[in-house]
Amino acid sequence: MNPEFIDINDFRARMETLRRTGMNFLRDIIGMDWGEEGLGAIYSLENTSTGQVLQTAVRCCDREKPSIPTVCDLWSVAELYEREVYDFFGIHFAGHPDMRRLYLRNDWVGHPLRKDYNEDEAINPIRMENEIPEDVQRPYELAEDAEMEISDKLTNKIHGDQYIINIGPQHPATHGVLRFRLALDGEEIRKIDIHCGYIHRGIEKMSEKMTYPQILALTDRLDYLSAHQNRHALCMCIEKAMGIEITDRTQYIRTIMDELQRIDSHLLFLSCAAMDLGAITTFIYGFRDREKILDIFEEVTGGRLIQNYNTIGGVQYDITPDFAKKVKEFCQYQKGKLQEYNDVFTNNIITRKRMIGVGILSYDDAISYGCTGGTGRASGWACDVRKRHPYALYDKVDFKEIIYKNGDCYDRFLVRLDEIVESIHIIEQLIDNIPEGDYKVKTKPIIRIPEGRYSASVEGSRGEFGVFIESKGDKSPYRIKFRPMGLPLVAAMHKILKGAKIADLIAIGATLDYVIPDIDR
Amino acid sequence: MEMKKPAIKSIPYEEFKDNETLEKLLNELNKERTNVIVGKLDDIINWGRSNSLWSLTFATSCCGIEFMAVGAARYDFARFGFEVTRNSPRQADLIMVAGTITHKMAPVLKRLYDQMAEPKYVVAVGGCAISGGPFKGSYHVLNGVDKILPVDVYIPGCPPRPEAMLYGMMQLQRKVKIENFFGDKNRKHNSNDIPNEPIIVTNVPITPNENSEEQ
Amino acid sequence: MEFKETYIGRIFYGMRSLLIGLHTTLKEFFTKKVTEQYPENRKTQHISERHRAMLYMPLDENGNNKCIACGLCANTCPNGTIVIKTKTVTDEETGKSKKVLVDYTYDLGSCMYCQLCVNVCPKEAIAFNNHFENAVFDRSKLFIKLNK
Repeated sequence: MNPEFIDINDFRARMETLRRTGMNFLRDIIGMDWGEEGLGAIYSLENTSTGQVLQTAVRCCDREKPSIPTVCDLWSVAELYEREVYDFFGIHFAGHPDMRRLYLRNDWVGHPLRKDYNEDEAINPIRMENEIPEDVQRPYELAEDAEMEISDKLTNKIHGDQYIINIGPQHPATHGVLRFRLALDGEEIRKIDIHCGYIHRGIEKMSEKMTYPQILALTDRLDYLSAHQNRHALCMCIEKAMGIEITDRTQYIRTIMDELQRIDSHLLFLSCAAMDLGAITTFIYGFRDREKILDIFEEVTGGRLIQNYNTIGGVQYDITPDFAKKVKEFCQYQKGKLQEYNDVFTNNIITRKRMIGVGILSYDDAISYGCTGGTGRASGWACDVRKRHPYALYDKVDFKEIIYKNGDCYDRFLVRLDEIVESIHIIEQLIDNIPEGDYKVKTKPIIRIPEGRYSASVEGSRGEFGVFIESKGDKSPYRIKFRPMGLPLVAAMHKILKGAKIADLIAIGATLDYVIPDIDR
Repeated sequence: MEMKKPAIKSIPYEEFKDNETLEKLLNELNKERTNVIVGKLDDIINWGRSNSLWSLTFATSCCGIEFMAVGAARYDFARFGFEVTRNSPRQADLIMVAGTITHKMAPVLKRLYDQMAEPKYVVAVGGCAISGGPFKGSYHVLNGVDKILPVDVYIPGCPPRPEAMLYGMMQLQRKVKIENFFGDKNRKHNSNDIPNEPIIVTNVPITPNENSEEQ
Repeated sequence: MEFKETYIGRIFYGMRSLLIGLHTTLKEFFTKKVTEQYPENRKTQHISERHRAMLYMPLDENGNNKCIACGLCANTCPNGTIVIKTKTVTDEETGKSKKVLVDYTYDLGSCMYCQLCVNVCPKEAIAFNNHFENAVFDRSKLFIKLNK
């Protein structure tokens, strides 16, 4: 893939033209450090009506005070993506209303993903005091002669008599370690400020020193409930770059495992959403059914949660002889149990009152924020990667894409229940026809990718998971970027929560279905 | 006086790993104790305590899902007395650190530990909490939670099976059963040399409140 | 208007949904339990063969391990879990010198079970077994010496 390089003076005009002519989905902004050529970013855009995909890139040569014009008024998700690029590379985005770090503490010294970052522990020791919150931000503006100027407008200031409470990071309902600071007016939420980074493990920086099979071992832990899909994306990207053809048997096995993983993840979503609203019975039922899938996984791959199964060129082990029988038994069992969830939880009057009409995300907002996955489909946007850009065997099986129109919590919940039925349908079409053959092809002992830029996406359990690799021909990548499935969802919370109450925050957070290690990487 | 052997139902004493550390602890705690009545009372109270340890809901990443699976129906930890997980650290007996701890999360974890009331225990679950695990080489990950907290039991695995976590909890129960509850020496022998000082906050910013000017 | 939308109708349908839920849980009360009684079933439980709990060196018929001290596993490990100490011995008859294994230390507390070491070993000298009962009180007990 070759991005179109735009000069920094024409950048803003070109992006406005692209947005007007229909490129309404900003998939990712990938910050880059090109060494002597300067710092910059690559933007990946898509037109949702025609399916056209385009990459643009911009470069600024000043390493002391790099600056690029912002695009966050054209695509709303760019607010958080640009904060991430600022955090890791130090590039200021002129015109951004809230230029703070996203993942690291605000007293962190340095920008980690730059090539000249000093990793000495003495510079950034383990600081055990609180970080002082910044409630006052000063935006940077690009003046006429392109020198940066700090204006003194105080934005994002919290009004004097609003009551601020803190939720998290250790909290039973935040699905991990996410911290919210809410400004309340009585029980209604006026403003929400999201602090992520409590589980930021620096996977992208670590990967720049590791070989490709070692990076593969780490991708299981990004979104551990889409473990097979994450590894599938990285393996697809590397195999495409090196030109390796995998066998049909591998394609069948990878697709079946992906769909089993999707059912597993949706059952866990159901259990945790119910537990957040107080229905602990459904939590127990969901986990009981999930254990059947984990048994199948453990027999074949050896792991319950972290499976280590897809490798470059194939899979790690062949499937066991009674795999098909067990999967068919599971499909029969699960079809019978779906009505039980509806009886106990979905049709219950309390659930309906708490979720119908709450937390509405409109169709335009879903595209502008880039909320793919079940959340986007509940707002009416047909964003399934399996239908838009098919991969593996998804163009050969017959399945429906589940779309609902209202965009409230109840629809987001129903989308995933219906997707379980569709996944069982896909598995039943494939399970009896697995062809004979090898389960992996022979590859070189040391994997080197030819020079260039490559990307691949899959439909993870929560949205579109993408991998971008820029390689200079070595055994380690020059830059690797994973598109997080959950960051757009968290970015959209600000819009969804207008006028909602605190109890609605819990229901909305539960049905948006994010997993924090995937946001923080 | 003969060595006291903490008994767990269904697993004989010899089949447990790491009995040497327990015996060393017993020797140090028992150097002066001779009173039979206090000894018997200790046994009864420790039996009650070890069968009812309630943990804090604390899960940062993948090991948290296995922790939830231990609490669900198939491997039930309520059979061992770990009935519920408390949400507030003031009401919890034990913190099971499941998941990676980063530089940003470390002060939060230390504050949670300081808020718990004695007697309290720490169990490090999974490779990330023991030593940084897969992320040892990262710039933002704490290499092992025993750098900031005194750890009682280490459960290795990535993630450990639910049965391995139950085994680790049974090891903790054995450790609780040999402690001294009465007596004026240190009740719990802390074998790590970490000075257990609470965090004292010194950098609170003083900003003028707008409303106070009107008053 | 329809009965469902009147005030009494909404109460009736709401109570009905709660009673359907109670009926489902009552039925579940009489079904077989799925709980595995862990310490009591240690002799009869089934753990998958491929489950990875600990690394070990399988022995051949003479009781020796098959390691040739090439060091590939230690180089491939992503986070330095395996540490090998070797020494060079010279064979008197042929005069060739080869490396011999002195000490093979495996850190159970930082292994990520990625199987890169097992995949790269040319002699299949190391493998994973499924003995998962490994919890200890002391961190130093997790550094295991594999070559006996």
